[in-house]
Amino acid sequence: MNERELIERVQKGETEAFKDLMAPYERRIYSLLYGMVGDHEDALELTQEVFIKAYRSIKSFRMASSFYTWLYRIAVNLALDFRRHWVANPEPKEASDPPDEGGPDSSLLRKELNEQIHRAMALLSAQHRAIVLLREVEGLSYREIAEIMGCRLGTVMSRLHYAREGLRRALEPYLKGGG
Amino acid sequence: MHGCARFTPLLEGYLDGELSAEQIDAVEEHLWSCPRCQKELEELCTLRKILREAMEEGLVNEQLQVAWDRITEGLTPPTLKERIWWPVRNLLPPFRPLRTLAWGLALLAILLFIIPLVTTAPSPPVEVESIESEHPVMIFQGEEGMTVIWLFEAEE
Repeated sequence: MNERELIERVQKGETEAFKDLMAPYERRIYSLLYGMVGDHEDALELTQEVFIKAYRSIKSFRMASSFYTWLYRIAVNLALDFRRHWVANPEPKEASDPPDEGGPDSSLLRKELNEQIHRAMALLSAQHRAIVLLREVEGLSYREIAEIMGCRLGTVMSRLHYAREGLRRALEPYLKGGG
Repeated sequence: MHGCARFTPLLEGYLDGELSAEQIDAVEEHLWSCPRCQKELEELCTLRKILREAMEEGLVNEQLQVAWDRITEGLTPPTLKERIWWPVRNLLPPFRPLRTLAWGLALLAILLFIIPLVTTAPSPPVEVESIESEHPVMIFQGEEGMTVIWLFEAEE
């Protein structure tokens, strides 16, 4: 069953079709949100919120635009709201660690690199972070990113360049070594 | 290298697949002979690789299953009882059995103390008769007996 048929079924109220519709996006949405908020627990909770919001508003979705840009827009807006709320009411907490995979050495190195990446991401504004994640992790085109972020193509390009420069400066030792 | 200033701004577009066919040809020709731009492009590729790995790590299927259970709960419309009861419940303080029992016993003790006081309080005396004369007399009947009040004017 293709995506369009699944969307129509969900719009008619078939809850069972919703899981099939979202299956290709669950990890991608989670990754985007994890990059935006930098914490596993928060990213999982936001993923749930995105999916519930998508289900509740899917009747308003018109087939004119692509489903994933519509879905990413919900995700980015919720993540931006989350950041705004977090900035207004910071709750200091330790970042939840992901489960270890691989040997102890590779795990430690990866953990150190990931911590550096999240620190570098935290130096960017939420808007810059969203744009760099939509491009680098999700692989969306500039036009799709502009549609999701509600800004112009030129803004996407300049913000993407600025974000990349910031990340390259912060992660220089890891990039020079070739990753 | 020669012409880097012209091509560096195009490297990101090249990596992102956002250039025209002519621009792609020009960038590739320059890259062939420019180690500096090759290195620049390599760093951009590495940045992409490590970002992807960092964002995709850590999520295990069990967590997704738990997330889906909660999502499914969120999709089910609340029953009529839940729609009425939940907002009321949110306004009430949380139910704690021991504290509620303590408050109940305290209230009961207060009531047991107050009720006898209220029920045994003496009723006010009732005027049963008054005699109009030079020195008026008023007779009151109370629970504890009869009271007679005789009024005299003080002599000047």
